[in-house]
Amino acid sequence: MSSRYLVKALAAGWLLTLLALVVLALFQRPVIDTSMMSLLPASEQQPIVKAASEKMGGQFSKRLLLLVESEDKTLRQRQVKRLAAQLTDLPEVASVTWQLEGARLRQIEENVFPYRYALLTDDIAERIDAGETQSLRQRALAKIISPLAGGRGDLISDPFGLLDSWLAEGTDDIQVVADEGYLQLKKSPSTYLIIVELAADAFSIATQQAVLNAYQPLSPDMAEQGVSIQSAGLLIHAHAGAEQAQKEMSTIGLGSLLGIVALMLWVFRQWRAVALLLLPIVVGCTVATAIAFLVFEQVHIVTFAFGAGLIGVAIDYALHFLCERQVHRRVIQRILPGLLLGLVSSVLAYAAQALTPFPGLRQMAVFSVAGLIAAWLTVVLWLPLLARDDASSSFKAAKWLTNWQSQLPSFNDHPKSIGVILTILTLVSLGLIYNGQAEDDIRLLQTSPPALLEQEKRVQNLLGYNSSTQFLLLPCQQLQSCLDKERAVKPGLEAMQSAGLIERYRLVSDALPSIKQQQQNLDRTAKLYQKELAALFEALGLSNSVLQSARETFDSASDRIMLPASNEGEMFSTTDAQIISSLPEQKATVISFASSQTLSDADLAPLKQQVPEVILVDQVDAISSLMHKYRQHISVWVSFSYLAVFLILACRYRIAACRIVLPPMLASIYTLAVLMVLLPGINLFHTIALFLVLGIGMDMGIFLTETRQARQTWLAVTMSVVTSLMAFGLLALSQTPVLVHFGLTVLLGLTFVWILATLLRQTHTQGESLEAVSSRL
Amino acid sequence: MRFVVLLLLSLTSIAVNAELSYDLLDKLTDSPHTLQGDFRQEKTLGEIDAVIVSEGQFDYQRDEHIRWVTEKPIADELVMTPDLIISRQDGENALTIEADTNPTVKVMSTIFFAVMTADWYSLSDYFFANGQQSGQDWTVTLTPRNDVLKNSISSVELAGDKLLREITLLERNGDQTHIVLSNLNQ
Repeated sequence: MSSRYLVKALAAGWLLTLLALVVLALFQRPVIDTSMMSLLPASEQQPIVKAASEKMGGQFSKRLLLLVESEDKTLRQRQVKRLAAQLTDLPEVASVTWQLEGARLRQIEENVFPYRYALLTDDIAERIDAGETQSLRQRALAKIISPLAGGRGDLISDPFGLLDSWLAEGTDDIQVVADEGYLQLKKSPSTYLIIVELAADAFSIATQQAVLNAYQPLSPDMAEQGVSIQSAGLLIHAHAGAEQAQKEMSTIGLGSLLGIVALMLWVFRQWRAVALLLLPIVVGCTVATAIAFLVFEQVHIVTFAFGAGLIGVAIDYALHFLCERQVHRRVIQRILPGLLLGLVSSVLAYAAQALTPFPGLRQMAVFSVAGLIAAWLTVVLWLPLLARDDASSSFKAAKWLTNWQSQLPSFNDHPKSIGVILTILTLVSLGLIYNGQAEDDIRLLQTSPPALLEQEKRVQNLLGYNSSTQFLLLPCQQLQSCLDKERAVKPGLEAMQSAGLIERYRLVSDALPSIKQQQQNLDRTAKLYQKELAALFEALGLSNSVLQSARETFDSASDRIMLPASNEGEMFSTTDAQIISSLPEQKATVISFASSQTLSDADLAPLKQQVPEVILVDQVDAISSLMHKYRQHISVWVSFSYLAVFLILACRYRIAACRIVLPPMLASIYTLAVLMVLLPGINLFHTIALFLVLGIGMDMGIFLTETRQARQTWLAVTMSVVTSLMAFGLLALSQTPVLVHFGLTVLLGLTFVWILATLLRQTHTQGESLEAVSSRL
Repeated sequence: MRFVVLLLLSLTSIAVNAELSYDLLDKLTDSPHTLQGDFRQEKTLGEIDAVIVSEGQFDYQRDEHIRWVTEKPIADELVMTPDLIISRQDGENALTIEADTNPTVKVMSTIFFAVMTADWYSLSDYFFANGQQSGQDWTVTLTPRNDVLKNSISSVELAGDKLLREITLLERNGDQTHIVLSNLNQ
């Protein structure tokens, strides 16, 4: 009596835990990560490189660019205002920039004005050094008498127009000009730009919805009026990725659920059984999702894909329970050892992933382990209470399956021929794997639809930057020495530019010269004044007093040097963004460049000659090589898992453990071999999927061994394989490369597991009861 | 045909009252294909109370260029095309400015092209116009419409008859450029 009470108390306790978890998880804002990059650790890079990568990536991820295009200027301006108004007040948006206010422009000039004598363009500096000051005087004269005004300096404070030249060069590579205060693209005058800085994470679904809902509904109306909007930014791609994955998850999930329900109905011929089977899956997935959101800030989309595989494993327990129940009563005590072993081996296999220094895998491990334990608890604690003593009805299917299987060859009947075939297959497969190619390029996992990538490219072209994920990093201990080093690499950059290796580049020191360089410039300006000022003023017919005050103005400001802080707040200034600090004594400046090709270290030879410490940072390359590394790690981990599980199983089953371990192990080998033949190469995600093959294959072997291959167990494991195939077979149809990799691997793997298990079945003792096995053990 | 255009223009101008003067200017002035003449420019620099005088010739080819050849105090040639400005000294290109990259220069060259050709409507993008007419003679004051222009230009005054005769540019910093065109040949 008391044990009955205990069972009920445990079941109720589990229900309460479940509810508590769900309620807690509901308070979390779901953030679904779709970036392949975030699956991988970046910690292996030098701290300064890591800091730079994060800073550059962060700037990219927080920015959304909108281009508003229309031939009708008034309409264009109105729509820009309309869009800006929609976006400005959103809490998810930090700032919206769509206009260049006159006051702001004047502010920029005023900020730099005090340092005009220390800020010389390279051209002016070179002319002074070469003694060609006369040409600068001529130029100044021409400018002064030019009917085209627009000179910012005046004759006393800046007769040579140094500031003008400096500012003009600074805006050279900016692809935006002010058009009545709007941001107009140089390359497309009928287009205005809106820059949206996000305050929230671009991967947050709430952010995506808030931002996109603010402006996308306007787009049809604008299109009707002949105004088009183009957008670029991580948010767009993240949203497309999340949407596609959600859509696929729901259609694929729904499709596989319908298939599974139909199969269950066909086998058990009652809705009640179907409900009992689905219950552990639902509980497992709910708990896994809840815990994932509670433990991690962002849950990666791949985790959910992997989670779909849980359906296959979770249903194992329930199927085993229900099928066994058709034959025996008090079934839970009977199958508990098998269920427990199945759980322990799967949990061990999945938990092994948590030991890898790989954020994505850790998340999957937590997700899987939580889901498995929840499904298991549901089967063990709830199903005995919920299941009624119904007449057996699945035997028809079990019999049909046994009859069909009995026609298939088995190892017991043909040990030699099957043994030889398997040995040959295994050797061939191992040979294929050994000689096989891997394809670790992260770009192959790009999930954005082509239309969006195309749009991103167009926007980038119009704005004159490219999506190069490469940049150069110049490490130093003090910012000033970085700036000086930049001067040293500049000739090399010029050479690369004229060789066509890079199109443009941007140096911090072009906007903020080093103190040393500014001091040299002050000397140059003094030289220019000394040689040319009097002649210039004489040509203009100006009085001596004017000359005197121009000299005095220079003298009074001839020691003013622009320091990093005084450069702040400059429009379009990237100097802040390009200065990296990691540790107190570790600084670096980023040299960003635009290039239509991927540079290699060899291309940097001219730079390295000048400054050997310059680093080429290639984020894509870094991630691809991480993918490579972790693919190898995972392969080793999978092998270790097999070994560990084998050792555990050997304790109970002795040599029979081979029969359990062999099917999933060989299946994994064959699967890899087939993938090597079918695909240009395998990647990390194929190897991760092998964990699922391991989990489901082990369960299958354990349950079959426990019941001495009873026909109801065969029915259970076959249905488990078929349900997984339904879930993953459909996944292989996905548009998301990662899901395809998963789906295909599990599809092949489980098919092989079932075929191998069938081949290795014990034909003569099939149907023997557990007691018979136990008595022998 | 011209009548129809004028009619259309005056119809649109009813809606935009401030631009009435552009219509008026359009009626009063010729828009020559070519134009040559002398110029005298007086730049008054407010801050130092000095006047810099330059003199020379100019010639204009519609849709092609304006050449502004200064003879005094230095020899300098300024060639403006709709999208490029080149300053030449002793035959050497001293300075080339793409109008696109420099908004102020772009506005100035637009003004030059507009006033030379009497293409008044292209000015309406940048300026409000307010004018007076007495007989064939007219004066008009242009004030900038947007902040960026207001940054540097206070106003532009134009005066002429069939052709433009005088341009006065008042800058925000107090500088003033007064240009008188003479000996005009169409």
